[in-house]
Amino acid sequence: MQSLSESQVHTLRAVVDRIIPKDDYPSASEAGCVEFLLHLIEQESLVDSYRIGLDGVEAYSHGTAFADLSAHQQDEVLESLAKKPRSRKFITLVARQTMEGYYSDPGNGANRGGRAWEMIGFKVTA
Amino acid sequence: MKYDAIVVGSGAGGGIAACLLAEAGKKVLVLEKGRELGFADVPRDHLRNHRFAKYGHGTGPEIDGNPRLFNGRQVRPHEGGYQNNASCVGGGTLVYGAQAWRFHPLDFRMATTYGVPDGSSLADWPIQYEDLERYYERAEWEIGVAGGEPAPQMPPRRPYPMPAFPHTTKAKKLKAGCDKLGWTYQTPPLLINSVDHAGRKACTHCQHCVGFACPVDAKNGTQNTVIPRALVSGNCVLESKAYVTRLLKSRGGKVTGVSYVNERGERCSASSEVVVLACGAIETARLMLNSRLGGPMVGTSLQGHYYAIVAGIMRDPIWDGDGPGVSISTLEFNHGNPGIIGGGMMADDFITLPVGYAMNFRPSGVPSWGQAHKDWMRETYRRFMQVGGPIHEIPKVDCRVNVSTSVRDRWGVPAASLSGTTHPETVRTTKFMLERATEWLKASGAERTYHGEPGLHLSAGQHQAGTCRMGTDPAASVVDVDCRVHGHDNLFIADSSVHVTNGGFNPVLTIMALSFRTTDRLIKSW
Ligand SMILES: Cc1cc2nc3c(=O)[nH]c(=O)nc-3n(C[C@H](O)[C@H](O)[C@H](O)COP(=O)(O)OP(=O)(O)OC[C@H]3O[C@@H](n4cnc5c(N)ncnc54)[C@H](O)[C@@H]3O)c2cc1C
Repeated sequence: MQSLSESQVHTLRAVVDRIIPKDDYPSASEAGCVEFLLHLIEQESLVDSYRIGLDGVEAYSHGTAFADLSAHQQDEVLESLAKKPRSRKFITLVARQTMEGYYSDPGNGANRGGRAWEMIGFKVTA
Repeated sequence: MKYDAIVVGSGAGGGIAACLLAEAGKKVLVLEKGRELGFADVPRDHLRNHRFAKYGHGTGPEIDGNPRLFNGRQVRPHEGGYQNNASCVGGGTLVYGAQAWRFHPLDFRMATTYGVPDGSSLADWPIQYEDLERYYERAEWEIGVAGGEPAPQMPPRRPYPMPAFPHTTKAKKLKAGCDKLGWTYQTPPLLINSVDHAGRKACTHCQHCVGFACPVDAKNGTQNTVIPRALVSGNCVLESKAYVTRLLKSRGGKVTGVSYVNERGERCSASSEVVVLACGAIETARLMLNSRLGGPMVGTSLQGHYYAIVAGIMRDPIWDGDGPGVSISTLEFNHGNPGIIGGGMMADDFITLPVGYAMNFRPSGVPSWGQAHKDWMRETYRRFMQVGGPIHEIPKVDCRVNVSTSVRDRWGVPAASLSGTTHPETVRTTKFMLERATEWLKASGAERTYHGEPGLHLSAGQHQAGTCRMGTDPAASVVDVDCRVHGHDNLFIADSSVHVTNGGFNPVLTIMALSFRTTDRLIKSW
């Protein structure tokens, strides 16, 4: 059961991949953050905030789908939205929750294979 | 049936009271609101634990049906402002970090030592360090502490039953810092098995200690020490998921027992000669208020600890994953700080989990998202450490627990309502200690240090204390020097509520020592 529309999920995927971009370690979406967020926002009754927030991201993308903008343009959109009183809260929220998924235990689903821990050097020994 | 004693709450204080009473041959009923939990029940969920409780905390109190009010706003157990501690058999001791500090002798004489700042309820304890000394020793031996020599600032004492944990890599750096500054240091005492002890295993040095249950049961709480002893005696019945809603009184006002909701959700009552309350400082005060007991001071001077925490980034990696992780401390600044009231113990910390680092330790200049944040995580996590510690709080009467007139829990009992902000002197001492922690990190080779700025707020939280303070004057206190509620010869309090002030240390060993003393004296006077 998906709580956001397909196109909103598409936008979300592109947004989280600017919050934690790909380098030699996975991007947020590659690590599982989209599925993690879809589950979390359902649980925390945040679906509406995400719906409105993601639509806001699209509205600010000047006619091109956010996902089709260049990485640089995407960053500009998110940075501008983070400065506006109306959208600031959503950008902070999605950034925070993406981080929470990516850096927490693989059991939460957004740190596949423990790659984020491998990257920073955290190990579970016992 | 009528019991000799009912103990309400099975945490640090309650577990000990139950054990001593049962071993003295008294018929004891322990009523504990939470469930019996072990490692298998408390997941290693980095988003739901008592260190990072964004979406839950892995133990009781259950998220729904247990509201409190914080400055008028309704909050759930895992939300900011609730001032949560674990609710389960063992209470906070199932998941605590288990630092096992005695208070300093001067911690019991704050008013005499420093005077009483305007607007504060700072007072001396009616008992002194010497009165607690042998009970500290019982707690150290009967619950089980690992550690080394006492700090030079403390009185001599019997050695602990277990040797100290070895210094971690970061502690070795901090030790060099102490040497440079001329500061004394020691390994923080821990209620954790450094070697096999009392039929249970030694610590495996895992990374999930504070905030989690122990995978090999090497962390000593009341749930694996004194509570089993109480049950083995054959004199103790432990009911978990049993929530006491009110104390029962006779027409003459004498306490005769308790009203509670049992595991099956049935309303019942139990009667006894003596009732011992040990629900933690907030819930004990709430139960007293809801039972209309204890007089006007009940609920006042709620306190906990401000923490002076400084983050340091070292030149080279120092992360070795060697848990529990808290490994070096100094007592140089608990007292004798020029122009400052009190002070506190300083130590390094338990292992900081990645998500806690990502969310709570981002310095200024690092953006909250994007490649730069990812780079910062990658470059600094293994070079990071934090030092700091609990500040001896300067209490105020209007920091308090009340009961709500509108919000009730799922059983219809008026919720606790918390309000007030600490005394400005607490903040001044915290600022002083932030400077000392910064100094320590710099001397230890940190290339960057940073910290937040403390403001005025309520501090209670995991170290909550003080709501039923001990004293000789019934107009200014709730319990007497035996922790008996003034005017009620069969009602006792055996948890952190009775603390007059909360020391410049983590409080649990003092809660334990006091419960040993209170129960010992109760049995002797029975
Ligand atoms: C993550 C964490 C780390 C900590 N680390 C340390 C540390 O390193 N050193 C240290 O000194 N301290 C530490 N503490 C604090 C320590 O756990 C507390 O100071 C201590 O547990 C308080 O003891 P208490 O007896 O006052 O109450 P608790 O241990 O909180 O026990 C109270 C019990 O009463 C039960 N109860 C409440 N109301 C009712 C009711 N109406 N009916 C029936 N039962 C009820 C609760 O469910 C609970 O189990 C830590 C706490 C946490 C959560």
